[in-house]
Amino acid sequence: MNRDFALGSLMLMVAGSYYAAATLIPESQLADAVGPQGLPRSYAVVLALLSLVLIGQSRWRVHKDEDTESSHSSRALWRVGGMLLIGVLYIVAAPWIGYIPALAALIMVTTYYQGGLINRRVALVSVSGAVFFWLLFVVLLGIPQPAGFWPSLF
Amino acid sequence: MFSTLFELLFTTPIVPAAFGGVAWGILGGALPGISPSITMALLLPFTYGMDPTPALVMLASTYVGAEYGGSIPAILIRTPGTNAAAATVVDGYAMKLQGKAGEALGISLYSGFIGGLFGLIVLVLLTERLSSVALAFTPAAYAALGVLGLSIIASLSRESLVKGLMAGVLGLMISTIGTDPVTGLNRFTFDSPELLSGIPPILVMVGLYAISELFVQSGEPGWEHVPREKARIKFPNPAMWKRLAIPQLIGSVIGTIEGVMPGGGGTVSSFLAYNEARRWSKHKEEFGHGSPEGVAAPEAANNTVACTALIPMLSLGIPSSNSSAVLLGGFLIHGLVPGPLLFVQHSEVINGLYTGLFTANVAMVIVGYLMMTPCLWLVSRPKPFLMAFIYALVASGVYAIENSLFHVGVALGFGVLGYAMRYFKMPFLPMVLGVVLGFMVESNYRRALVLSGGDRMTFLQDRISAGLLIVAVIFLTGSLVRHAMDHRHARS
Amino acid sequence: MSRLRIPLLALGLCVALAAASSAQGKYPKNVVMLVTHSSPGGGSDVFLRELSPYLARLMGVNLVIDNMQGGSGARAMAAVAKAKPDGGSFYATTPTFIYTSLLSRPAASYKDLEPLVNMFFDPEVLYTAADSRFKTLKDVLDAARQGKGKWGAANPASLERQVMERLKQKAGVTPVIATFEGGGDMLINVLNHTLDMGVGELQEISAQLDARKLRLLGVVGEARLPQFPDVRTVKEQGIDLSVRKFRGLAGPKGTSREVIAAWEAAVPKLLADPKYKALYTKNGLQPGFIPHAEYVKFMSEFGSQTEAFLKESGVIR
Repeated sequence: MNRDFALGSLMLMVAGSYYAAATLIPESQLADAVGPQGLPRSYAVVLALLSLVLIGQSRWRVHKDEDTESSHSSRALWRVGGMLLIGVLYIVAAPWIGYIPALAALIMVTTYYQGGLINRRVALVSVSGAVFFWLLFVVLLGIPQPAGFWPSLF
Repeated sequence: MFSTLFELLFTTPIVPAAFGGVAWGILGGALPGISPSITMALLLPFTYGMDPTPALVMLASTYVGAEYGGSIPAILIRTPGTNAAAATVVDGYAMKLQGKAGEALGISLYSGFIGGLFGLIVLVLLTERLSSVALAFTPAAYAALGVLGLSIIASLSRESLVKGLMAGVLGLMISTIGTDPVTGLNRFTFDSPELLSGIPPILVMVGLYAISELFVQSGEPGWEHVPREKARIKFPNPAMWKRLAIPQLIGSVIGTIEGVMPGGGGTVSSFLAYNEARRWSKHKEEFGHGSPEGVAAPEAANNTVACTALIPMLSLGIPSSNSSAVLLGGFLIHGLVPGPLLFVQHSEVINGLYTGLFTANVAMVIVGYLMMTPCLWLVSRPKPFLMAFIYALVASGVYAIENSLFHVGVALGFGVLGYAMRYFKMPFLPMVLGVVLGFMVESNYRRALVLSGGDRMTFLQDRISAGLLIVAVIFLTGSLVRHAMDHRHARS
Repeated sequence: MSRLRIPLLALGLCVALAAASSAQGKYPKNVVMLVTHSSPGGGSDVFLRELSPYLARLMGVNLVIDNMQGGSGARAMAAVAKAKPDGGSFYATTPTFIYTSLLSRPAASYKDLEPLVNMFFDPEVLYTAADSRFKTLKDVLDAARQGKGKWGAANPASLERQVMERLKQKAGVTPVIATFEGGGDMLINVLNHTLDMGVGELQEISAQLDARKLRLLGVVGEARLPQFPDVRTVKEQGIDLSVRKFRGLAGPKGTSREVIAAWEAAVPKLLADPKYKALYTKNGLQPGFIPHAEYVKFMSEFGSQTEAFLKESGVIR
């Protein structure tokens, strides 16, 4: 099984489920002739056709696209998962512990994850980085980043 | 004429307003997620207490600064700061990888300056004439314009046409999320209020480019420094000026046209300019691999738009983009109503605004130059720190779009998608184009059909629409022929 | 630096408190948040910012305008519904919040908010291009009767769309109705004759009206507009149709009697302030004070009418 074949099959599934979701859009008296489902359905059909073409190509064309990039080995995939997890944890934690602690943690953990090193300097850079971002986004730009439980303490 | 301009320059605080606005704009534009319109909106409350002219100069200068600022992270960390900088990412970041970051930043700044001046000249001389162009655009013409934009997908997908088209269709699908433009029904929102207004294109761009790059980089941990380069901005030399003249002209002309048309905006113009610059270039093969022209054209285009977008706003009172809508709010709050009479009743404000925009373009070069060295220093830090800070920057900036962590999650999702697309060798640009143009094409296509009673001939009867569609067909056939020829070459 | 700043801030606050308490001393809060879903520079935002200096002086409070964009008001509604009902935060209402409540399922809907008082009505007008071949509403309707009408409303599933759909029913004509992404977008299509007629707020089209590029065809309200005494209402032209696009405030449920009374006393005074009156008249707003008890009824009627319209047309089930 080669990569283009996999992509083609995957896209065929996307097209199918998107089409199914499009048919669930309710009818409306205010609708035009094309309707809210009209273009989504055509997009799904076009995507399905393209997928079939790709699958066809992958069957009879000699392919030379075996993995040249090391970034897609299974070990790399695990590392990507870890990186993603850091981001997800930030999203989960920020509303609870607040912007500065969550961001400091994000910076510190990412640095550790990438450099395998944790020391006073890394901690200092992380905390001051988070404070810098807080000054930039919250104080200067006035964007209310998640506050966490802190306001309820006062 | 000149004496009044001089008087304006030195008696009202236009100069500090322009400098302040530009600095604020570059800062906001450089932060991914903080769009030019958000940057302006954040500043707007502070301008309420000011005199009208400096207040409006400050807002307009913010727009100028933000359109330039977006290119800084696009070049340095593969993160478009604004929608319009998405086309700059391709060759700008490629130049950075070749150790030419300073040069790329210099080209972007210089081209933005040229584009801005061009736009300003057009604004001063042709506002009245071009406002009638804005009025000539019917829904059919807008739909055709969107199709023209989409037609460049074919030439943007170099390796595999099929995969490029797939990415484009996926982008179009993403653009259908949110409120239906005709009935107001919610489509593909799964009852989530966050999805009602759709997925902002900047989320897709930040996810695809920046976050997926973080993911790819995370495969190779280590403490080595990012290749340290001369942490200095480098302005182009005369030979480069010559080479950049054509792409800058292309960018400026396209930016002028797009700026005037409501709904066009900087993003579409950047893509069209990038594509045209490649078509007319003597060094086509360099595009995508660090071509200076690939940076110059889109940057000239989006800075032209920062001026020409004011044409319909000032002359008709109709904002052509979110950013000019914020500027319109700035006018209203000072009791000034943009429209045909503004030029007669408040010519002093108009003159002040023009003077301010000129100052802003000069200020952009100065402030941009000063900000460059610290930016270059920042991106030459050790890799783990750099990645951690990019992650933090993206998470904070994307949050600001609607002050919601939901959007941070969506951006992460697009990061995963981007990673998968790299694996499958699917190009990003077609998807970005689909997301940017999808809503415009769909809403105007359907609107045109509503108005014509379902008659598809309306797209050929409308002269502008017919013209644009013919150009789109020429583009498409051209790139299909090229694809076919490339194939034959590859086989033989 | 930060050590210095806290006392300074506290000092500033004390001054503000002193000023506020000396002014009236009745209202239970010193700082009142007015929450809007409009972004800075948008319609409701400009409205609130113009209003706030006059209102702040009258009520002896500091008014803070909080722009909570997102979800067409869903976020702003949720925030106000959750706020303490102590008179400290209110949501600036327009019909949008009813439409959003009905069209999407926001965490808090208009039913979770307590309507406070109404302040203004935005007159909705029908208009066409000044150089259009249509001189009166009757001309437009006649053309539509022959099946060639093209009408425009600024947004899909909005009050304006509802006006056009009702007008179509009541006049018994069959034009096509196109919707746009906002008033400006539609205005272009009226000016270039793609549309026979558009509907919108007076404020949106005032620049073009002043420049005599547009002609008013009728007022979709109960009374004629003082600025345009010659323009007849749609009712006067024989079609029983009138809408009231409201601008008022709503607070969290359980807002106390005294808070409500303070607003009921302040708003009529605000509307009578001659300086402010000049400003809002210029912006095409009509004073439309509705006291609390009536406003609650008004809102629930408006809500159920809108719901009926949206159900009838199949937009919601």
